[in-house]
Amino acid sequence: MVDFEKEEEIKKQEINIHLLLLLAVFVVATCGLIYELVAGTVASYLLGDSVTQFSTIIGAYLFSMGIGSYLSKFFNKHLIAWFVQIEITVGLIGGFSSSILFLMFDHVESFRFLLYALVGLTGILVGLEIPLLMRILEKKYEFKELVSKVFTFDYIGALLASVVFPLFLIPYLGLLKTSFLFGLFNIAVAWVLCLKFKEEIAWIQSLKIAAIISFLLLATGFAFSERIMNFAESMAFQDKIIFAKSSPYQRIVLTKNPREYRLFLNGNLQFSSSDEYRYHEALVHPALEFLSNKKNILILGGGDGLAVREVLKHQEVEKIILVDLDAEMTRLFKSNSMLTALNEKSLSSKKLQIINEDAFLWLKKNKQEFDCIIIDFPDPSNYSIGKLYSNSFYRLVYQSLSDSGMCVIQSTSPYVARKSFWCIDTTLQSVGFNTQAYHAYIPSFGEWGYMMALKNRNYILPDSFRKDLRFLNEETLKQLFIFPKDMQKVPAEVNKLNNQVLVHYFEEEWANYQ
Amino acid sequence: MKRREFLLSGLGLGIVLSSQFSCKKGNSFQVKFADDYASRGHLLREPKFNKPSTTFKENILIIGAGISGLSAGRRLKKSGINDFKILELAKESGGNSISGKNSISNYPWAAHYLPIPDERDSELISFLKECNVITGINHENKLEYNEQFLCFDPEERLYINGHWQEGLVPHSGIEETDHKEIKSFFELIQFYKNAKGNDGKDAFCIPIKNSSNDSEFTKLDEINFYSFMQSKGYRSKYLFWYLDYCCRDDFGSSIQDSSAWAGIHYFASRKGKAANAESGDVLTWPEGNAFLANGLKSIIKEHLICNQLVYSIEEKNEMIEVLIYDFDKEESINYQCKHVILSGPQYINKRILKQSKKEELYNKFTYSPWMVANISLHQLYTNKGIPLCWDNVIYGSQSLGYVNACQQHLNLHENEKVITYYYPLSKGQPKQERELAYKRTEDDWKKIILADLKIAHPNIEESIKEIEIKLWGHGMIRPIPGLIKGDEIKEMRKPLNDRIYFANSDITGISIFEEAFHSGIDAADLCLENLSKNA
Repeated sequence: MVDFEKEEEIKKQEINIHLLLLLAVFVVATCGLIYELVAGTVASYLLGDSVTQFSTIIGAYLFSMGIGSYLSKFFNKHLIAWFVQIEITVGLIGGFSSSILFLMFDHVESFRFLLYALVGLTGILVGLEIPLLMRILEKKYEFKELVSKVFTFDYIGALLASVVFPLFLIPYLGLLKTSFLFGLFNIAVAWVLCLKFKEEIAWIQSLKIAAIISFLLLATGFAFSERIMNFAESMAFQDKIIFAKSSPYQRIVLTKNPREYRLFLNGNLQFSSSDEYRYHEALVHPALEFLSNKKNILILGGGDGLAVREVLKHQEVEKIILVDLDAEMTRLFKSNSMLTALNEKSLSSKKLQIINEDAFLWLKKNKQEFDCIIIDFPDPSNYSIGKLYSNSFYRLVYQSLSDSGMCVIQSTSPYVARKSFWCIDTTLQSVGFNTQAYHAYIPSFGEWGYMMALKNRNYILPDSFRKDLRFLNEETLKQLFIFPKDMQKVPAEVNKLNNQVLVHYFEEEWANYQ
Repeated sequence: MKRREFLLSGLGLGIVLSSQFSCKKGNSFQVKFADDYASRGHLLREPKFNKPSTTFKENILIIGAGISGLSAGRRLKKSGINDFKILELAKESGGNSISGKNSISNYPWAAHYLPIPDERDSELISFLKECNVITGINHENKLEYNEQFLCFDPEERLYINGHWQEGLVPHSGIEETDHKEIKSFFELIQFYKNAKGNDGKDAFCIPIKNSSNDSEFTKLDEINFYSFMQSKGYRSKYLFWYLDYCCRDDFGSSIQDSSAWAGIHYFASRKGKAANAESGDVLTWPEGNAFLANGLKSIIKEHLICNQLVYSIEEKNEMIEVLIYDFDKEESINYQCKHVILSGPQYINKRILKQSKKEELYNKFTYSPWMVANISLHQLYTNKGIPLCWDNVIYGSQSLGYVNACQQHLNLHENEKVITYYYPLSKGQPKQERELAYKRTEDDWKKIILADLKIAHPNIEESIKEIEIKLWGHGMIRPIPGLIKGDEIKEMRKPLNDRIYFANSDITGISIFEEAFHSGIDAADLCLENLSKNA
């Protein structure tokens, strides 16, 4: 009786262990495919071109699994212990893979290498798993049983992963949490095996400790994945990112496609190399061609040096001061050969003085007088930038202009943000300027607006206009001043520091547009 | 981004995680008490000073360099008087309008704004012109304010029902009946704002002395604001919260402890007009009202002596004997003077005047204790609703929320901020609250502040760099029923023998800049009158 019961017991345990191992196959297969999908998704987010990314990632992954399978023959003893160890390692690497990729994205040059290294490593480890498991189980099943069982569970796991990944995991958990979660599953398999096979594993204690530490690391990662994501945003770029850097003030991202470069500051497009000449010619030349006195020029914002490039086309200009808060911007556009080709090394001009200070504070203490002030700030999308479009700021601009001087201001889109555009006009007039609005079509931006503000006189079309430009000439200049009905002046309040109406208008108008 | 680079340079995720763990345990930052002069004041309880070895003669002595003392000094100076001194207990002038400073910003330690004043308040208008707050007059004869000092937009937000709404009057997620009551309350206020008494004066006016004495309105001082609202049929808990918040904000006393007259005055007395501002707008500075205090000080600075504790004032025949202890020279000094303007609060005067007023008069004067904390931090995230404003209030909190000291900064990017957190200790009786407050350690306060701020900013602890705390044992006079329009306050304002004059906001009933400013002028005018009589 006793013997029979004992036998039954052992049999039962055997079955449990078999089931357990097959369950491990299932989990391991699911995790493996998830890591592959995560890598493919991260790559297509960050590098664009999802077809290429996915197929190369899948190829590299499957090939690495092949290497893993090949390597499995070198494992001869302690199979379960090795399996547990591989589980822990694959859980850690797979779990952290997406975080590492997001965080390392800054270092663009090495990014691809890192991506494929991680994919390769995960692939090799996952490739080791199934052969090792089959060998653990080989004495417990007949060969045909074994192959049938293991691969059935393997492919069911793969199906599950490929279904839940796009439907549930990405929408509800996001990439980082998904990786951490499946890393935790790998660790769970390792832990359960540790408990079940405690007699058969030689270095059980150290494996257990490793599993606990890995579990804690992954759980913490899971808990903090939002924070990690904040470190590594910027997934919204279509094109290849060739430069990305965060200065203390903003995130500078430069992307490239076969046709053009694009510069993004905090995710907002600043220019495209294919049509920026339109924007900058329209910003600079209508004012400078009009002015007879143009020795001293002040440029506020515009650290890319593109406005400076246009200003330098006027031989009469003797001195240019460029005030841009972000030293990283001016350094980049002064030193990077690709970018200096674009701005024609304007930032290295002897006529130019670069000042990396806050424009409002600098202008407040400024004592010099300028013949022309060119203002190229970002759009007034928040309260901080809104201050730079206020009547208080324009009063300082007024004081810094010579009597015959004028300023020109990039003024967002009169088509999309009509009230915002004309609010800038009203605000300039409220401090005593005579204004002249105009607009140009920039394909990457759409209809774009500018405002000229003059002291003591009105703008008149210059008698002649330079002929060396790509966009503007005497004829096209005239067209800039014609406002179609849907962009004509609408009443707006004066933008002040204590009402910030412009920011309110701007928010409303762009929200409707998007 | 330094942090990010640091993380990457190691690429050790262990480092990432252990640093995250340490955040969880609590970012360690310094919590400290700012300079406090209460201990100097406490020496008055049992004065043990050496006999003065030096004696000075002075025509006029002003005691206390808060707003009222400085304002009295400015008045004397502008009237051609030069033989006076102003003595101040603390190491700097300003009283409730002092400020602090660190690498990020200046910040206030108490009073921090001034509503656009009434155009009829010519004294205040001319002072504001002196310090370039008013820059001119437009073609319609309206005053133009310096827009750098008009509070920048966005001005106010309230954390209520899980998000930040615009403005402090609750409107987000409240019932229709509450909306109706709130609307009706503001209509009532509009009535009081326009109302005039049978003497032709405004029912509610700043300064209070220009308000009507018509009993129709003055009788409102006999009941508390809570009972008044109840009797008018108001029941909305949101409205009552808001009114209680306003009482605690301006008086440091709850809606039950404040008189209805005072409560209505808060809303119905602001009648400022300007070319470029509305009556509800306020003037503010990173350093708060220290800007105004410094404007007053600049006129009289050669008359000001700080670190002086007055411990006795005694009328003796021709002269008044004022005994002081000089903390700088560490000696007692005897001043023999003809006139004294006492611009300190009455609970101090009671201790230092040898021939003080009747004991029971003083009992009417109670003061609310306050705690103010200036918190330096890296970032302040807003999860839901309106972004950071000048005034940020948490619905239902015992505190008044916080003010962004950097609101009036002009520069575009600021990675760090200072916020000033206000906490009136208005729950219990002032005496008990005061005793309790002085017993609390830095750590006790830290817990109180964080527990409150975490309601709206769950992760705030991680961004804090430093907390500096200041206790105001007697922060503000409490306009309890019967104070403002009672007999005691009138008695307290009366000079003694035409040579000791009183100036302080507590003898007007409300602790605001305008009252202190006028109180100083009035005391100086009485003094000037007697000077010319004697001459």
